[in-house]
Order: sequence, then structure tokens, then C-alpha cells
Amino acid sequence: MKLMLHTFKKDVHRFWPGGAVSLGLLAVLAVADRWRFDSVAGATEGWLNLVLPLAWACLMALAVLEEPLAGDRHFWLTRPHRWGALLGAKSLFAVLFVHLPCLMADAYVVAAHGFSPLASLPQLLWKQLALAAFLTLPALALSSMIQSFTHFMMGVFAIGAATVFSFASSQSHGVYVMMRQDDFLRNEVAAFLIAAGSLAILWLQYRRRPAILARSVGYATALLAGALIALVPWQAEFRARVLLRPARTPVTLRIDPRSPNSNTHYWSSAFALPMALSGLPAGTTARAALLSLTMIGPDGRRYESALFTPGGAEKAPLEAVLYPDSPTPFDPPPDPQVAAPPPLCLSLRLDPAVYAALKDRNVRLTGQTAVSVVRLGETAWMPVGGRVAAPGAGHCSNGIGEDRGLEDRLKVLCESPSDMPSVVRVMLWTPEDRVKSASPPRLGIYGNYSGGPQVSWLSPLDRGMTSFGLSDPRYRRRSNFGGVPMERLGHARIGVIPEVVTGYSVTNFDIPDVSLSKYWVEPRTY
Amino acid sequence: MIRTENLTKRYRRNEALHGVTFEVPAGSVFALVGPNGAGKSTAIKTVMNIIQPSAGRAEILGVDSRALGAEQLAQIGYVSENQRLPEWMKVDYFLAYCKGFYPTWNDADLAELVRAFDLPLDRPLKALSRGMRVKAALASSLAYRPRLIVLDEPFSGLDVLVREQLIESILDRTPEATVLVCSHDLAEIESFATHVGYLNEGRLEFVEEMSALTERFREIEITLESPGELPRDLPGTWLNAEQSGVAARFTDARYDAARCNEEIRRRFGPVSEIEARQMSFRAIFLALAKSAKRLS
Repeated sequence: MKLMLHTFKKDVHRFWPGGAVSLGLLAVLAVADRWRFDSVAGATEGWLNLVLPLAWACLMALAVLEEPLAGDRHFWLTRPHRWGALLGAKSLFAVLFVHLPCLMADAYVVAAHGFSPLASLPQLLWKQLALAAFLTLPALALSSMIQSFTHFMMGVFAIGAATVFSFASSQSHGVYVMMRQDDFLRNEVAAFLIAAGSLAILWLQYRRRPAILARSVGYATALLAGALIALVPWQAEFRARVLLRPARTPVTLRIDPRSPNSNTHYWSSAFALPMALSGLPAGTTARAALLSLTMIGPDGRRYESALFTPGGAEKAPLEAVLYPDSPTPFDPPPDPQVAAPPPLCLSLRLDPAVYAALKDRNVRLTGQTAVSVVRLGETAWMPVGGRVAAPGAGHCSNGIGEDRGLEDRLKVLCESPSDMPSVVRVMLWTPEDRVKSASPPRLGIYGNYSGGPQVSWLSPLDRGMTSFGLSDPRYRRRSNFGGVPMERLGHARIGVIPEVVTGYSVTNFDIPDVSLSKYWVEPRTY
Repeated sequence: MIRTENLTKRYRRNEALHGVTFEVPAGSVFALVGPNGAGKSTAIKTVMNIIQPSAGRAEILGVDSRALGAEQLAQIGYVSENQRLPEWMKVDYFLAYCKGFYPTWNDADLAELVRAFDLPLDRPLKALSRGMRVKAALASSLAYRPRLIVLDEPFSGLDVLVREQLIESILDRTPEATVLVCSHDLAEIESFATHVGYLNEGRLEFVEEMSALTERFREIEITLESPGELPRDLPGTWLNAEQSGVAARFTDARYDAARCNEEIRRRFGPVSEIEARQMSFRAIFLALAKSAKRLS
């Protein structure tokens, strides 16, 4: 303990100016976050969300490089340091210059937004764990394997580029994003992997300094985490979720006798089969996507479907996608307060040869569907211009937009120290219109572009926003078509309903004798 | 104090140390000498657990070098020519920082060292000359009266006065300490080493007490009665033999007057004079290095 404090005091003596700068930046960020009533970060906050993690990583690296672990010429190697005390000193430095100030800044922001810091402590501590997993531990581990700050910066830029590439390579199509958003299993596993790898490197380096072994662990961790983010398909991630939170009741996918929405087919010419899920518990709805599909022709020939991914399956003889049967996947349900099985559409696209062979024949469709079973949370109501504590969605407020471009919109903002559900429905009730969905109908990251990066991952609050168009004689020139007349807002109430995932399931389906010709949809004409 | 057994260090295909075995007795000043690239620093770094041996083992203060911990390091003073000091520190802060690691640190000793070395306490290490930096490092390594002092080419490039001053300080302030020093500066070694080990291309050629070494080496000069050619098949202990006319000379690495004279007469024929001169350590070292070069 004495040696740990001795080394720590030396590090503080050396780096207090850098530490003070990082604390100053954090203070500016906290004030910017405290005064943000928007889901999108402003330019200052956005830039600070990029600069501050980099500043923290540099500070960690400099502290570690005071006693470099790579190389054999360093003065400290022959001094009676204890590895535990040395690692403890660096960890203490990280806690006192990064984690503790960040925790305090977060407590300030959540308190300023009406949340009890004490009640939010689990979420705030969880955020610190995430920060340690994604930032401080990797920064400490990386700097323990290199000899100079220049090498560290090169490593940081390489990792940054690889991270951007990994995320850019991961599937990001709307339907799949929707399935992935339900929770962040992939990110959590990646965080755990990175944290475990970093801890292993630190343990190895501070105990024995086997640089080659430690670097091997570092490369393996980076490759595994990158592959997990970029290469593991969402289907595998979904199957893991099923193991963790299985849905209680079996759900089946079948053809629905109704006609599909004529606007819904995914491709301009395809077969569009109206589908429905049955077996969902009462009061629940679901989100669904295909895991696999095989079409078996009358001659027994099998066509495995390439599941549609952007730009990835153009040459497949059969492509398939299952999606909500509405003009877009983000269209509102008819009544936001009702959880009903969603109408689905299975769209199939065949290459010309397969099409010619099967268009007038009956085929059999088998495969698997990923289903997230969802129930609606409690509806929280608030008057126009008021606030409400919405269970599951934090604190919600609303008001007519004050920013340029939002003067003719009624803005609804919810913020919570906990992660909000991926879907929180928002509706407006007026005696005249009854229920009207917001546009978009769920909370999201919307707002004015204010220049600069719009990231806000350091914020302790998860924010979501949506709005209602208003029609007002003052803004008639660009008044919203179909907007809510301003005069009706006096008696209006705004409802906020979170969708809560209750479980996941993988559903097998086997549908014989499907006459494809019945479901042919003509090419779109524009 | 220090013992190595078949200590070997390989860097990929390069073998920097090849089965090196030696022992540094307590209280001795053991000089590990050899030409550049002989493996002296590698041997010392391996003993100090700065690098790991590829094979063999080293023991230091009764502990396997790989298990060398804070307890042992608190009794060892280590100074190296290419050690990277925390250059941002001012001398006084550096010394105060070092003090925190050593329970046996003695402020009075430090004050004397600072005075003797004339260390500028208010200047950062990076602003000091090389000699001053070595002095600061040495002061920080002597103030706790280590049982073992390990010096890796500490004096190279320093002027004679500074060198003498540093050697004096080591001998005066830690008279009971064991010293392991590696150097290719032979003059400094000769003045205070009690034992010497000679490393060449990673192999330890010999280890012995300094007095025995100087006793067994002689530079032999012969004057022949008639000119001739250098005989073939001279004994292996006769190094760097050469002849020009009636004059011949060589270095005898196992000098015994009677045996040497008899052997000379048998191989060279009639000689008019044989002169055997004592050699300085520097001359011995040069003879060995030259011989090794010839053989290679």
C-alpha cells in the first residue's frame, strides 16, 4: 500500500497538468450535457465525446509509460517495485483521474435532470464498468506492451480504424437492426472479451513482462472482438439470446388468409406472402425476422434462401425477407395502446430460371424464424407542456419546438439513466382525433444537425425523442400536412408506452402446397 | 552472492550467451570483461531478471533470478550506462523518490554523496551531463548501503577523474558490498577488481582471481642466435606468437619459468636471451582479444 501510494504520488506530480485539463474538459462536457434537452448532442458535446476518451487514454498511457514494461533499459526495473503495488498505482490513477470524476459528473447530470444519483447508482456504476472495459483497461493494456507514447498513438489509431471498419462491416439493414436492438448482447460480450483480454495482458506484463505472450493475447483479443462485432451474424446472436431468455410459449409462423399490403413488398417484383404469428400470449406482440428458409419444388429440388442483407445476396437464386406488413418497418401500429400480433409479409425473389420453373407450381416452404415476444408497458400520460415519470422510459417531457425548423412540431423527449427499451411508442390523444401516433411513432435520436460529431456515449442519460406535426396558421406556408391543429392541444394528452421484450424464440415453420402464383406482385411503377 | 549455471540466452538464431557458469564470491569485486558484443550486458541483465534466460539458471542473493523480487532488489544497487532514467525529475525529487523504496536508506550517506559528487539538486536529470547522470544514479544506488552492487559499463565515456571518484565512492562507502561490474574499460577494472571473468562471443573463457591471472600471464621476448622462421605447432597457451629476424615474442597464458624456458629452447633452438615481463590487465586483455580474433 505504501509503495502503491508512493508511485501514485509521483504519477500525480508528473501528470497533474494533463489530469487538470481532462477534468476541465469533463466539466465542460457535464455542463453541456446538463443543459441539453434534445436527443442529439450539440457540437461541443459531440466533440468532447471524442476528445475526452482520447485524452483519458493518453493519460493512462503516459502513467503506464512512466514505468514501461516493454524494453530492458528502464531505470525502474532494478528498483524494488512490487508488481501489485505498481499495477495498483496505475489503477488508482485511472480511478482518480477518470472514473471517479466521470462518476461525479454523471451524478451531477442525472441530478440536474431530476433523477436521484443514489437511486441511479447501479446504472452509473455499470457505465463506469463499460468505460473501464472499452477504454481504461484497453488503454492500460496497450501501453503496457509498447515502449513509447508514439507507439501508443499508432496503436490507438490502428484500433480506431479497425473499430470503425468492424462496425461498418456489421449488418445494419433496418429489419436486422430492429432485431438486434432489443438488447446489446453482442456489445456486452465484446466488452467482456476486451476487458478479460486487457486484464490478462496487465496481469502477465506486471507479473513477468513476457512481451511476446502479452502481445499475442492482445492480437487475439482484438481479432476476436473485431470478428464478434463484424462477422458474427445476427442470427447467431439471436440464438444466444434465446438461450438466455427463452419465450415461455411456442410461437408458429403461418400464411395469413388476408391480402398483403400492396405497398409492402420489399422488391419491385417478387412474391409477397401475407404471414402471421400464432401462439403469442394475450396482450403481447412480436418482432420477427427469418433465420433460414428453404423452398422445395414439386420435383423435390431444394432452394436455400440467401437471407437478404444489403448488397450481399444479389446473385442468389432465391432471396427471402420477413418484415412488418406496413409501408415501412417503422410504421405505427393502428392503435399504439394495443399489443396485437403484427401482420407480416414474406417476400421472395427468385432468379429468372427458378421463377420460370416454379411460378405456376406448388412449393413447400420450411425454415426458422427469430421471434422477440414483446408486451406493452404501462402507459404514462402527460399534458401538453408537462412532464411525467414514465415507467421504463424515464422522465418524459414535451413542448413546442423552440429550435429553428421545429417551431411547428410538438417535441417529446424522454431521458433515463437506464437503457431505454429499443421501442417506446408515443401517441397524442385529443378528444377530436382520439389517438394519433407520433412521427416517427417511437422515440429515437432525432434533432437538428448542429455541426460536428453527434455522439454522446459519455452521457449518463439515454435520451429518445420524437415529435408531432402541428398545423398552425402562423406556419401555414410549410405547415404539416395532417398535423394536429394547434387549437386542439389544450385538451390533448401525450402517452408514452415502452415495449418490453419478455422472451425470444426460434420458430420452425413448414408450409406445404404454397401456390406461388397467388402471391405474385407486379413490378412497381413510379 | 551470484551464481550462474549454464546460463544461455538466445535471440532467435543468435546466441548471446552460451552455457555461462561462474560464481561471484561474497565480498569480491568481480569484473566481467570482454570485447564489445561478448555478452557482458546480456549476462548481467539475465542475472538481474531484466531479461529471461533461454536455458540454465542464475541465482542472486540466494534466490533464483526469475524470482527476484522487491525484497532482494532493496539490497542491490544497479547502475548501467544505458539505463533510461526518469529524465523529467529534478535530482532532489529523483533521490527523494528512490528513498521511498528502501527501508535502509540513509540520509546522511546521501548528503555526503551529493556533496562528494557535487550534484545540482535543483536541475532536472535531462539537463545533466552523462557523468552527472551516472553520479545521480550511483548516489541513488549507494545511499541504502546495498549488499550487492551491479554495474553495467557504468564508467564508459567518463573522464579519468570522474571514474576514479566514482570507484572510490563505491569502495569507501560500501566496503562490505559485493560488486559485479562489467566493462571493457580495463584500466578501471584493474584498479579495483579482485576476480575477473573473460567473456568472448557469449562464452566464458576463464574465471579467476585477479592476482592469479596476472601471475600466470607473461609477455615473453626471445632473442635468437640466428634468424629463422616461426616454428609451427607452438603450445596453445602461447598466444599471438610472431617472429622477425632474431626477435620473437608471444604471450604465455600459463607461465612457469622453468617449463617456459625449456620449451623455448626446444622449439626455437639456441637463444641468446629470454625476457619474461609481467603484464598489465589491459595487456592481458588485449592479448586475449587479439588471439581470439586471429583464431576466428
